[in-house]
Order: sequence, then structure tokens, then C-alpha cells
Amino acid sequence: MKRKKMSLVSLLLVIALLLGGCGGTGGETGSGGESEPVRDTLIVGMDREPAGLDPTSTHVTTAVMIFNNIYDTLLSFDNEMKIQPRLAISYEQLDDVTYKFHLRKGVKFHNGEELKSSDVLFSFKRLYDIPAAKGQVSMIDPNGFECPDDYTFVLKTTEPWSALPAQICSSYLNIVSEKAVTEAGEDFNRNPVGTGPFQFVSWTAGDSIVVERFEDYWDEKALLKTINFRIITEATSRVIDLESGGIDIALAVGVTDIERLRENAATDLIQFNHTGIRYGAFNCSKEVFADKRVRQALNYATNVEIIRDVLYDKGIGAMPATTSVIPILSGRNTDLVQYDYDPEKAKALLAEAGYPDGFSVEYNFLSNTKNTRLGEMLQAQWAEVGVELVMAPLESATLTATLNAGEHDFCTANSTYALGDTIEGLYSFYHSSMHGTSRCRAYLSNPEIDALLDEARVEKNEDKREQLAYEIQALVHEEAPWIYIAYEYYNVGLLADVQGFKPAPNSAHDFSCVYIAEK
Amino acid sequence: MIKYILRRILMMIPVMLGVTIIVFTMMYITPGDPAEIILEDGATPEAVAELREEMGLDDPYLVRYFRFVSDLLHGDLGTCYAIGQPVFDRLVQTFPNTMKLAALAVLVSTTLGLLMGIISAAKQYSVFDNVAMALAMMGNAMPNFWQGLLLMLLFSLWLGWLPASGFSSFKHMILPAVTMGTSSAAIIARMTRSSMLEVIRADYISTARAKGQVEYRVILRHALKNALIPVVTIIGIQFGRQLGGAVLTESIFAIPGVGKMMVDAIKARNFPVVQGGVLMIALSLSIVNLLVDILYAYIDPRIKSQYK
Repeated sequence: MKRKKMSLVSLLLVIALLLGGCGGTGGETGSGGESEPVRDTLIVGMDREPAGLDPTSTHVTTAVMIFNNIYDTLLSFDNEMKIQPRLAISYEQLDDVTYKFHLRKGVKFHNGEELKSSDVLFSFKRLYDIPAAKGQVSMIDPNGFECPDDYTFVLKTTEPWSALPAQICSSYLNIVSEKAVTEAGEDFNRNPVGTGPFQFVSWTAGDSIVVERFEDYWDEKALLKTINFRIITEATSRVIDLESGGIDIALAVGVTDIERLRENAATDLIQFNHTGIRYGAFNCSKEVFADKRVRQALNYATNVEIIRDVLYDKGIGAMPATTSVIPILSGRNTDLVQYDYDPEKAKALLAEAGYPDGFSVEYNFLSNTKNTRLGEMLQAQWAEVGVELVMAPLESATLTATLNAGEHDFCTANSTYALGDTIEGLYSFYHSSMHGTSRCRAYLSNPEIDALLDEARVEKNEDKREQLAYEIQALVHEEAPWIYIAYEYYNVGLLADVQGFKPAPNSAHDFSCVYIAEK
Repeated sequence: MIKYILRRILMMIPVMLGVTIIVFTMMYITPGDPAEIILEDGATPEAVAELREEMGLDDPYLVRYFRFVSDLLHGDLGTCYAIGQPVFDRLVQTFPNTMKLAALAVLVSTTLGLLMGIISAAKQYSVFDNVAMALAMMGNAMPNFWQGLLLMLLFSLWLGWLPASGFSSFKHMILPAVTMGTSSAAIIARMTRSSMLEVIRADYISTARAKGQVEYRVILRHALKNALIPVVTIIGIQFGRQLGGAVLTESIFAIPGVGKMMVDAIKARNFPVVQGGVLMIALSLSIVNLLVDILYAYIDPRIKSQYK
């Protein structure tokens, strides 16, 4: 009996030693205490692994965030989406199509090379050879580049295009070191060299990306020494990891965790509008949705308020959408009369359009809980006006192929304003030349809207552009190709001692000002 | 015996060839275009077409299949579409994690399963037997992702004993191994119990008892060895399941393993990674099956004589 007891005690001791003696959780994540130094390593839990660290490889939100800390663009958006100088101290428009950029002097790349206009030229020109990126410079003339001296860069657009400064802020146009790219070749995607406040250290596929402070940064040096971007794809796991102190920041916090993080004294929650809108899109090229009265009828048949309450935990995860332009952008038309829920009006419009007994349509959506719930609600609401909605869930690759081919009747999507420009966003959603591209889900063809978009695209005067955007939204609203569902908030959870994090609507969060406060 | 093992190893070649045909064909006929996925939002049809050509996706089925097999025979598993890294390197990074996880999970499930099964059989219809079998049913019925989250809440958030995610130390491996191990433990426990019950009723066990052997020797020496054959089969199958089916556990605990890598690759139509991953798992399963067969021979010498 005594021996048995001894064995049990030994076993418990071994377990205790194993638990106590095995490595930490990465970084200097101590439990605090007066004598302990303030941590200078931040662990960020992110929802998605970037496909690469070459800025031409991808523009998913997590990649844009990391690029913004490793590289710099010539111009960049601030947190109010206003354009600010960055590697270019200023720029001037010489004529309708020519822009001159004056570069900052004394900027160093992480490999020690100095930034010259030849690097800028190289960063732009290489995009034309990369199929995944060449769309980003389709409005820039490949033969229009000039480098009059080491600190001046000139480019021409293919035609007058007012969104050029916004385009220059695009993550694709982060400036890379010509020498580093030439030397690394394809390996540059995994060994990036930029001029940003942090330099690349390591990337363990499927696990983490580590960067450290760049001591020769041209602007204020970053406060943190190291950032470990960990890939934790499960939202619930990310939040539990945050609450248990395993990570300092959890990106893309789910709606159901918002209240819990707010109530927890050890954590903070930051909620902000990002550059996306969730909507339902009717495929106007399909016979049944060619008549705008049908689209208007289904807008009236949809009780968006209930949908928002259900999808976003009584609306705390999103704000009501009333037009296609998101709240942080200029030129937003806030005077549109909404299609308030009115089944009787919907029935009357359907009868007028020749569908007194309704019809049946298919709903293609990415197979997940949110979209399924949304579909079930629409199914019930539209059934009241005689329209049968057939749920057709697809996984992402098949869905993209179906939507790009225009084979869908109705779909839902969450689209972003990638350039951060109102007119460019509207153009990609509604211009008939954009059919078959990934932001154009409604396949709308309206010559009047096309003409206004073409006019706005070349208009230089900001007030006039806003006026045109206002008119376009009114016309689009009348055409009703979309059901506006919500402007979703992006939620970031932080440990309470993490300070200085300022979220960027376009996901290009700047970590150079982030620090961990003393307890 | 050696001859048998060599023959089994040679038989793996047509098996692996069959696997290449199946996985390649399945990826080929699945809708979805890798070029469109790589180009993400805002891609023009021209850019997609250009990328498809560059990636060789417009070539006919047979041309692509033979290119794949020919590269494979030259030891080239292809390059990951997403990050441009050789698939072999990706497997070298991820497979050891999956193996570690599977091995630990099997250790947990075998220890728990055998213990519960043996005691339940020895004390049939006792309170322990009923409770253990009820727990086994629960363990089997609980989905891994839910169990994983519960364990995470308990041990990471409330008790603060173990990290919630990652895979950098032994401490990180405990929760995922327990999550994966408990459901298999349930199956092993039930199998051990029923197998033991059959053996315990055999005449030679009564003889052993009549000769005055102490009970634990009767159970462990005489009964268990003969009851182990079906149990070893189940353990082998469970190990294979852990290798290929660790996807959910890997996702919940953010473990960079083969399962998670393959799910991401399937979503992105990242053909080379899917093909490489499936081949790796198929090869591992074949090896595990062979090891199980060899183990039979050591457990039961009568089987050894059949291996020619």
C-alpha cells in the first residue's frame, strides 16, 4: 500500500515538473510584478496567413497590415482615410496625366541601401510582369516613367484619372529595394526588404511571422522591439488565447465575443468601421431581375433590421447600411429614401412586373453559419411575397468561379473599397465594363450610371467628384441592384496594458506607436 | 518474414500510384480556379487567363497528370501556389508536428483505453465498468472542436495551467493530444473490454485460475495478450485517423500541421500542396499498416507462420 502511495506521489511530481519546467509561450510574456521589466515583444493573433510577404503577392487584410510595417508607400492613408506624404515628401500634378513625386532623402532599406528613385521605378515597373499585380497599374502608362534625379520620380497615367493619388497608397505599390529583389529572386516573397519601421526576421509557415524594430528607420523609431504575428485561424481560440494572456492583440474578434471582452477588466475592445459593406446582389443580367421593379420589390420584402439584429448580436457588430458608400468615405449620399419593410408594396410591385404569383430563385453563398442564417431569414421573408429562395451553398473557390461567370441569381458579399476611393469603388461595383470581375456582383447595365462614373473618374475637382458620387448613388438606389445589409465593424481585442494601437480602416495598422504599459 | 515485409513494401508502389490518380483527378474535376483565387479581388479575366497559362492549367488532363508523375519520380513534389515554397519543404515543416500530435494522441488513447477496457472487463457490471463505459460513449460522441474549446476554457483560461494555442513546447502539446486522444480512447476501451470478455470466458483462463494464479497475472499475462489482436488493429486505424484527421484540432490549437495545411490548400485549389499532403499521409498509413501486421506476428506467433 505504501509503495502504491509512493508511486502516485512520484507520478504527480513528474507531471508537475513537466508542466512547470517546459518552455514558455513565446516572447517575454511574464505574469507581471514590480521588478519585472516592461515587455517589448508584442504577440498578435491574426486570422489568416498571408500568401506571401512580397507586396505584389496578395492584399488580404493581414498581409496589408504586415506590409505596412515592413514597407512604405510614396503616399499613404491616415486613419481618417486622408492621403498623407510618406516616402514622397510632396507631389505635384504637371498636366492631366503627369505626376511628379519628390522623394524623402536619407531613407534606408533594411539591407542598408539608400532609397533612390530607381528603386521606386523598379517597384512600379515589376508589377507589369506579375499577372497577379498588373491590374493595379492598368491606369499607369508603362512607358511614362522618368527619374530626373535620385530623388524625383515622374509617372504618367494612361488617361486622366483622378484616383491616382489613392492608387499610390495601395499596398501593391509599397517600395522595395531593387538590389534585394534582384538578389533574392522568387525567394523575396519569404525574405522581404523594405524601408518600414520593422524588418523581417522569420516566417514559419502556418505558425508565425516575426519582425523586429529597424534601428535606422527614417521616421520615429518603433517603440516595440519585436512583433510576433501568430496565425490562429479559429476566432474563439484567438479570444481565449487573448483572455488567458497568451497573445496581446486578437484581430478579427467575432461578434459574440464583443461584450465579454468589454466586460473583462484585463482586456479592451476596439471597434471601427473598415472599408467594407455587406450586401445582397441581384444578378441584373438574369431575366427575372432585369426589371428594376422586381429588385425594388425584394428590397421592400426584406426586413433588414431583423437580419442585422440576428447576424450582429442585436446590431452591436455592425451599423445600418443606407447606401453603397461606406461611412468613412467622402461623397456619401445620406438623403436616400430607404426601402422600408413593406410586403404589401412588394407584392404590388411584383404583380406590376408580371410576377403576381412570385417565382423561384437560387441563392449562392459561401457555406458558413452567418450566410446560412441570412439565407434562412430571406427565405422566410420572401416567401411572404410568393418568392421562393433556394439555398445553394458553395465553398469559396466554386463560389468565386460561379459569381465571376455571372451564373448566379442572387448572392451576398462583403466588398471593400480597395483603393479607398468612393468613385473607384462605385465604378467597380456598377460600371458595365466591370462585368465578370470580382467586385461586380450585380451585373448592372445602366448607360446613365456608366456615363456619370466615367465623368467622375477623370474629374479633378474634389467637390465636383463628391457631387457626382452623390448623383450616382441616387441613380443606383433607384435601380436597386443591391440590398444594403450592414457596414460591419472590425473588432480588435487587446490586453489592457497594450497602448497606442490605432486601427486603420484599410487594415494597414501601424504598430510603430504601440507599446506595453507598465502595470 | 523479411520476404513478406519486402513484398508489402513493393506493393506500396501500385497503391501510391493509385493514390496519385485519385487525388489528381479529384482536384482536376473540382470546380474553382487557382488563378482566380491567387489574383483575389478585382482580377480582370485577361489577368486570370494569363496566369492560368503561366501555371500550365490550360494543358489537357493527361499532360498535366504525366507532368506531375514525372516530377514526382524525380523527387519534385512541385511548388506551393500560395507562397512559392517547394511542397517538400512545406511537408518537412508540417509533417513532424502532425506526427508528434498523432503519436501523443495515440499514447493518451492507448493508455486510457487499455486501462479502462481491462478494468471494465475484469470488473464487469461493476460501478467502475458502468461509469467507464458511459465516459467512453461520451468521449466518442463529443466533437473534437467542442471538446478542445472546453479544455482550453478550463486549463488555459480558468486555471491558467496550459497555453491555449501554439506548438512550441511539450506544454503546448498536452491539450491537443488529450483532445484527440480521448475520442480514440473511448473506441479502444470498448474494443478492449469486449475482446477481453471473450477471452476471460475461455477454458485456459479458468485453468490458470484453478492453478492458483493471482488475478492480475491471469488478466495481464494470460487474457490480455490474446485479447490484444483486435485492439492493436483498432490502435493502428486510430493512428491513421489521427494523421489524416487532425484538421479540426490543428485549427483550434493553431498547430502548423499537415491537416490544416491541406484544408487551406483545398480551399485555395493549391493542387501541388494537396497532392503532396495526400501522398505523404497515404505513405504513412501504408507504413503504419505494415507495422501493425508485423506487430501481430509478435503478439501471436501463429500468425507469424502465415507470413511467407
